[in-house]
Amino acid sequence: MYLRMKKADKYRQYVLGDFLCDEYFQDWIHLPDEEKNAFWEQWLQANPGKQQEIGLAREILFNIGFKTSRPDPLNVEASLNRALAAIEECKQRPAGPRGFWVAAKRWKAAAVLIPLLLISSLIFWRLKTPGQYTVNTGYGKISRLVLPDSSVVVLNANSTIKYGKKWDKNAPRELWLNGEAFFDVKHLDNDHNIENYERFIVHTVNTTVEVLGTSFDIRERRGRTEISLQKGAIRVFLSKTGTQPVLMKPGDILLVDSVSVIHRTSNIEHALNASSWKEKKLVLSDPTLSEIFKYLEDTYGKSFILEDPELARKKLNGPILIDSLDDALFVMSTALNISFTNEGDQIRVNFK
Amino acid sequence: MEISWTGIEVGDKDAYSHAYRKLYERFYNYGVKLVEDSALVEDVIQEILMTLWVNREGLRAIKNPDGYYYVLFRRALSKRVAALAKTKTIDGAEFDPEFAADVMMIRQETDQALKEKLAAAIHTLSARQQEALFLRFYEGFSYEETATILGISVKATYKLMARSLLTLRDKVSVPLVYIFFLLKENFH
Repeated sequence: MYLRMKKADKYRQYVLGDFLCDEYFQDWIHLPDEEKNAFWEQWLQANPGKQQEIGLAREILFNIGFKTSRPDPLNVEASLNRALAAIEECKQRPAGPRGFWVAAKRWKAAAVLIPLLLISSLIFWRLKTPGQYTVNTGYGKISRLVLPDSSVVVLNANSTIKYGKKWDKNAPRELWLNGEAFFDVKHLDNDHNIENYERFIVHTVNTTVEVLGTSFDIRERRGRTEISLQKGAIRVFLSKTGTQPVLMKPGDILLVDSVSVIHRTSNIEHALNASSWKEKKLVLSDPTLSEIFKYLEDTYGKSFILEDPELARKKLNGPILIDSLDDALFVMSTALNISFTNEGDQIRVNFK
Repeated sequence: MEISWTGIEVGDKDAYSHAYRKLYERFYNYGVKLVEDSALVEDVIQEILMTLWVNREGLRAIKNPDGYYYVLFRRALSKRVAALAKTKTIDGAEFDPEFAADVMMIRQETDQALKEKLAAAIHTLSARQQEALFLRFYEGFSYEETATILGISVKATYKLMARSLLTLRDKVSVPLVYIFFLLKENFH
């Protein structure tokens, strides 16, 4: 209080230039808070003669501005990924800070060669086999890659994709997927005469999917593969049988295992919804809680334990925001009046 | 700019990633004002942010990580530019990054006459003065922090800042009647 009075006293002698150069006055203009507002309002009431000077000083300071330059977000993510990769590599070969810098340097060199732009919050690059890139996503993370042919892959959580570093001009484009990903494939064919390099092939455990320019979602979890086609055409080969491939049209949703077709439907809306996880939403058609929990288990690596078997049959319509597991659980708990108890890797579910 | 440092010191990679993005943007915005070559700026940013991870355990001991890493970045950038300049010029003269002349601007849509006067006034400020104003008023650093970043004494910083602000005041010599009018408009 004494300090404030002293300050108030001091300011009575001030003129324009003094106010401009006063740190506390500057802070009021650029970092205002209740305390400063209150002080200056009070002071002005007590010293109405200073209004002119204060007003102009305020105006001058307020107008000091600077342009903001923002980095390319792709550069930020690429840089972060290099740093994280260096951290990972260092962890595997513990050699103290020096090892870290060696790893960091190597990653910097590698980054120049990597023709990929990569958006993800936590993703670790590792060169497992010399000619191949491997991209993993952790639980709850999504990453987006642009392939050398500028096709786009969005990789869902808990998934892995591998592909060759060099894409041969004469060989088909090939990728290996574990988990779930959405593909938007660049169409290379101009003359309806399909050259080898124009082919785009995705391998999963159960299937081989061959593509022309198109967008589709492949979801391979728990031994089954669901393919939802949104645009274009694809051919699906089952990996363990020599039967004729299934030709899919837009809107088709195909559920298979490695030997046979389990289910096939066509609904363009449902096919589009299959990749709604890209927008951090979960849109299943008329889903039961047990289906939702399976999805969340695959995405976040937790297991759900239902205390009451009735829970499994409850249904929840409408999209669920899956920005984080907590968000998803919150929505479900309020919509269905159920409760979740977190116990490490397990989540217990009960009626409220 | 709010940057959260907690969690990094215990090796939380999410916390690190979060701070990484924020600091990257912040250093970039500052760095390209000092050095035109944005690739060089980004290279130095990566170097500093990796240092942050390597020295994460030391964060506990740093009272003001915001200012500390800002200073580290400014110095690393100067060092890199100096090293580059040495390979290019024969005399090896001291080379310090200079704050770009065209990044300062008048922010508010205030009265046109005042705006024009202020805009003309800022062009008379030196690069050093503009950088000091940037650190104090854009980044919100205190005089002490600004002094450390600029590598000069606090006293010199007060002088530098006062000279800049008084230059602005002198160039904005407005008739008293006008001031009175302005105050009625803008001050309640």
